[in-house]
Amino acid sequence: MSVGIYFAIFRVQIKHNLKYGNDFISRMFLMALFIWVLGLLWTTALPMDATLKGTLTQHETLWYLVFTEAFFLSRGNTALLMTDSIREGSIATQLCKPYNYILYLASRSLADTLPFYAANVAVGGCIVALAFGARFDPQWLVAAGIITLFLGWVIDFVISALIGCLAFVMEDTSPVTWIYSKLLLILGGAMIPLDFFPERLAKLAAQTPFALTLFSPARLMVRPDAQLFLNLVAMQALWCVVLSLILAMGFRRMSSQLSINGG
Amino acid sequence: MPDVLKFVFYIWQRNFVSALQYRVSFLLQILGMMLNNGIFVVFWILFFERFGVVKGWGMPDILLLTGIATFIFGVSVLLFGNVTKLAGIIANGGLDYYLSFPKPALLYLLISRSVQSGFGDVIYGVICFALSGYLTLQSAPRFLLAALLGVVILVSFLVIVGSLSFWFGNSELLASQATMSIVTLSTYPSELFTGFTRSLLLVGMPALAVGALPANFVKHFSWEQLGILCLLAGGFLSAALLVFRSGLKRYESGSSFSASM
Repeated sequence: MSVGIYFAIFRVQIKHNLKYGNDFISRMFLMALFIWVLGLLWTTALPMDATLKGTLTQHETLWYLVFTEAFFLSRGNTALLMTDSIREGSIATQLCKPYNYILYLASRSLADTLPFYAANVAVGGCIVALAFGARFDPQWLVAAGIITLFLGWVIDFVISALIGCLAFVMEDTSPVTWIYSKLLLILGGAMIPLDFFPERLAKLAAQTPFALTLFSPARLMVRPDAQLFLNLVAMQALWCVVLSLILAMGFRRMSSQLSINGG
Repeated sequence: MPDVLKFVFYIWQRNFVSALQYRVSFLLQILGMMLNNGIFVVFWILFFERFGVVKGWGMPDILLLTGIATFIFGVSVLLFGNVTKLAGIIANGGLDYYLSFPKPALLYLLISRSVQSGFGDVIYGVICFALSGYLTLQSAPRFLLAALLGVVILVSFLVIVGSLSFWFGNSELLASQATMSIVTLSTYPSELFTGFTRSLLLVGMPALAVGALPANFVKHFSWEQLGILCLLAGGFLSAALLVFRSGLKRYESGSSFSASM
């Protein structure tokens, strides 16, 4: 199978997303609202002159929140797509198509995430810069951001696909999706950087795939460090491989037991 | 008991019985929602442990705030479940079905669906209230009264937003964003918002009216706060009925056939 198929799926999905201007604007509005409220909270809790040893400053925290919230609010809905396909039985026809179903979902999810992520960072960045006066040096955004963010996206996608696979054995996977989202919010540090966690919990949370998805890439961009970058990429790559193997084995095993609703 | 109330209770009872048909899914939805809400409290525990009190708000206040806000949301979607789907129903011509019945169309539409995870919100809300330390014999009736007024405000606001579909063609996204925004904003300390933002969150998107205002009323009884809550409930309810009725005059049948089972 050619990579071109997945690139075509990616391209079509990007075009599809860009066609819906209202969707784009309303999602950016939500990002603006969240960053505004979190900005009010964090500028109250963490004054400009606060010096908490080893933690992020107020401006770094605000920019950190822009990156984590932008990612969180632009994630694709892989688990829901898989759950619906499995419940309705339409997965049977999708499995017959000349592509790998999981890679098809990955191409779609990436195309769902990318434009919204870029727009969310732009909107959130404008708010923290104009309303809260937070400045940011973008050099690491290009250098390290692309790699670590992409690997973070892969981890998130694979976990979402694993949750989607649960639809083979569960009637409704939404409770698992909610809990995963909230774990991303807390252990992933979407609302509070792990720097502000109690030390033991911070160390534990930093090793989880949730933190490698959101916290670590975002923190690296506001507090660049070459050694940290290398360690992060290694850790992310390891989790990507382990989780992908579990997904590949799990999906193959469960889809082999597939029975079609309605014939 | 008036016929309409009998009808409403009958539909609610049917919704509940129908949900019990899928017991595992029903329980999973409730437990999942409770766990989902509980994880959010972890954020505040971590936050207060590091930064202490923020503008006079500590952990007990947040527990009461999230308790009453989730209780209000839970009751709203449990009893008036279609309120979050109203925009789509109007846009897709789904109103035809409800208009053909002799009962009030908006009321029947709202109660004909129940979101089961709302049970999780309701139970979670009560647990948070109990853990907050504000639960007393005097505050419990205030909690219920404030929650009742909050439900009227929230449901009315969502009806207004959903009814925009009569004019915009489809306001599904706007409605879902409005729901998410009001739920999120209602669980933050009200003192963070000042001036114009505060007024907006009271009468524009009434997040404070379904969070901080009822929470303050539970803490200390005040005729002034009760008056404001009643005024907001009356105002939003009247506005919702007015907007829906005005919109209905613009409604064109979708000529859709559907079976309701």
